[in-house]
Amino acid sequence: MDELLIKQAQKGNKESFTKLMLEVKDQAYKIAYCYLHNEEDSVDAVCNAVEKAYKNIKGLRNPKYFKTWFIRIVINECKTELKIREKINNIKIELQNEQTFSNNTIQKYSIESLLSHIPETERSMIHMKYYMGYTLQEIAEILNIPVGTAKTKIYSNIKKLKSILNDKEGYCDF
Amino acid sequence: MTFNDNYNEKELDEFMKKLDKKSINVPDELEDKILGRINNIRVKRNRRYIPIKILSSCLGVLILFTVSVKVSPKFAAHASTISFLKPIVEWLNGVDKGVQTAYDNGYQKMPKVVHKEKGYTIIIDNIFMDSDRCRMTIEIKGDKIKDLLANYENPNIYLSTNCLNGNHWHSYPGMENYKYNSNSFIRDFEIRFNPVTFEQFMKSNNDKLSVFLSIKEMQSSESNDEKAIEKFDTIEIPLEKEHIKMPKKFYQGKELKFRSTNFKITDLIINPTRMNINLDVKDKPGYNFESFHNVYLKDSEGNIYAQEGLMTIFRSEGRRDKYTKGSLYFIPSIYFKDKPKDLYLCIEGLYYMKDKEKEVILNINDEYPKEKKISDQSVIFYKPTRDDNGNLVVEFDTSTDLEYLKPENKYIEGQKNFNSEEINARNRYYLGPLEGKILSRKIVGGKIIEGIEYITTKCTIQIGEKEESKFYLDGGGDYKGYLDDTKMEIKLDME
Repeated sequence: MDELLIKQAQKGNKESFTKLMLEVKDQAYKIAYCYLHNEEDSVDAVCNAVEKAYKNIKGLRNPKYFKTWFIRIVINECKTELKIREKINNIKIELQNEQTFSNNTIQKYSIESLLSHIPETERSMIHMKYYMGYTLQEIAEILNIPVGTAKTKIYSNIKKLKSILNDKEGYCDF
Repeated sequence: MTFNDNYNEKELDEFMKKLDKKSINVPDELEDKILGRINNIRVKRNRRYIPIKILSSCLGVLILFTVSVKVSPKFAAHASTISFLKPIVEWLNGVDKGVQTAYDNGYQKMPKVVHKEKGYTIIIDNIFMDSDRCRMTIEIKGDKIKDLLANYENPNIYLSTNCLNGNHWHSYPGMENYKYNSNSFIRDFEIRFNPVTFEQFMKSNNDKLSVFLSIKEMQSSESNDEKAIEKFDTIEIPLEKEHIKMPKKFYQGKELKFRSTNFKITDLIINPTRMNINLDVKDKPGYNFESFHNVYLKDSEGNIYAQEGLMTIFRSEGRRDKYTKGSLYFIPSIYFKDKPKDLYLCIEGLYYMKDKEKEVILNINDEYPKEKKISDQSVIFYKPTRDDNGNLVVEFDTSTDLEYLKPENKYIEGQKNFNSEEINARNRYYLGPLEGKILSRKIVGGKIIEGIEYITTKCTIQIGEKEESKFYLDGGGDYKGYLDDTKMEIKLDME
C-alpha cells in the first residue's frame, strides 16, 4: 500500500482515504462475504467498516499495517452482524420447536453445506486460504492469531470435512 | 499432539483444490456505496449552530476559572488535584508554582551568569536552589541561532552537570518549558540532588555548580543518534551558600497497607521550593504498584497542596526488584508559613498491575505474530530479528495504551535505541537513581506532559548470543492498571 496515501489520509485528506478504500474494497468484500454469505449484508459491513476506518485512521500507528488493520475492522463488523443474526435465529428456533418441525431426513452434501457446519471464524479462514489465496501468515495477521493456530484450525477442519465425505461416500454429489 | 503428527498438509491442500468452489463476485454497486458513505461522513464541526448564550456562558466560566486560579492559591491547588485541570492550572500559573511561591516569600535567586563563546551569548538566570534541586533558565542567543534553525530540524540544548559532587556528570536534553524564536533558544532545567551530596557540598569549600552545555540534533525517526552541533566550555555557576535555606525534616515511620502494595512513609521534607514525602514501597508477591490515584497534602485549615511533577520510584536492582523507594512532591511549600497544627497525606486510591500479565518472553524461533493480552488490552508482536551487531530488534503493534516494552533488568535511562515515528513524551516513573537527573516537561498537542522520553513500538536490545529475552509491558497514556479505590488520610508528624 502507498504509505504516503495512508499518511495523507491520517491527516484528514478524504481523497487519499477514498483511494485507499477503493484499493482494498474487493478483498474486504470477499472476506465479509466469507463470514456473512449474503451480498447485501456484506456490502453493509464493508461500508460500516469504511466509516469506522475514516473516524479512527489517526490512531493507526504503523501505516505498514493499514490493510490488516482495515480488514480487522471489516471482520469486527461481520461479527457484530452475526451476533444480531444469532439472536434472530434463536427466536426462529424457538418458534420452530413449538411447531415440532422436522426436516432432517434428506441432506444434500456440497462443500458449501459442509462448511456451514464449521464455526464462522474457522470457516472464513478456509475461505480466505482456498477461495481468496491468502497465505497462512496473512490469515494469522488479519485474525490476530499465531500462524500455528491458523494452520491447526484450517487443517483440522479440512480433515473433519474429508472424513465426513468419506463416511458419506456414495451419498454425496461432488 | 502436534500438527505434523496428524495431518498431511499437502494432501489436504490437494483435497481442497479438487472441490468445486463457488467464486465470490464483488457487486458493482459496492464502489458507489463506499463513495456515498465517505461523502456522507460528518465532520464534528458546526460552530454556526452554537447559540450565543452557550458561547457567552462558556466564556464566563473560563474567565471565572482563570481569575480564581490567579487570585486564589487554594482554588488553584484544589483544581490541580483534578487530573484534566492540572495542565490548565499549571499553564495559568506558570510551570513552577513552587519556585514562584518561594520567590514571592523572599527566597533569593542566585546571581545571573552570562557566558560568551563562539559568537553565542549564554545567559543562565532564575537560578533557585535548595537541598532537593536547582532550577534554572538557560537562554542561548546570537545570530548563529538563525542559521542553526534553518539547517537543523530539531536542535535542542543539552546540559551536563557534576551535580555538586564533582565526580559524576549527568547529561540531559533540555525538554522542559522550551521556547525558541529566530535568534534565541530558551530552556528550563531542573537538576536533582542527592540529599547526602547536598549536605557534603554545604560543608565543603566548593561554592560552584559546573555545567557543560551543547546544542544537539534531537532524536529523529530516522536515527537515534544525537548529533552534536555546538559544544561550549564548562560554565561555573557561583552559588551563594548563605542564601540557600536548609530543609526541615520530620521523621514519620507510618505504614500504609493496600491490596497490592505496602508503603512506609519514612519522612516529610519541607524545602523552600516544594515539599516531599519519601516512601518505602513494597509490592506484595505477584503485584506491581503503578501510581497513586489522586494524592495531595491537606492542612488543618483545609489548604490543599497539590502533587507536583512525577512520583519518582527508585528500584535498586532493575524493574523487577520488589523493594523500592519513592518520593512524592507537593507545591506550594509551607516553608515560609507558620507550621500548621496538622498536616495530612491524602490518598484516594492506587493503580496496580499483575506481574505475570506484564511479562512477555520473545524467542526468535517462536511463531509470529504473537499476541499478548493484559487485562482487556492486546499487544501484537512481530517476529524479532537479529541485527548485524547481535541486537534483538523487536517490533510490536498495539491500538491500546500499552506501549512500553522494558527489557528485563535494564534501566530505561540510556535506552536510546527506542525509536518511534512520532517522538512522544509520557508521564512515567523514572526507573533508576534520580540524582542529577532532569525531568522533562514539554507541550504536545496543547497538553503539558511531564516525563522521561522513551517510547514505543520498536525496540532494540543487546542480547549477545541468546535467542530470547524477557520483557515487561507497561501502560502508557491513559491506561493505568487496576484501581484499588481504598482511601486514606494519614496525619503526618510535624515535631
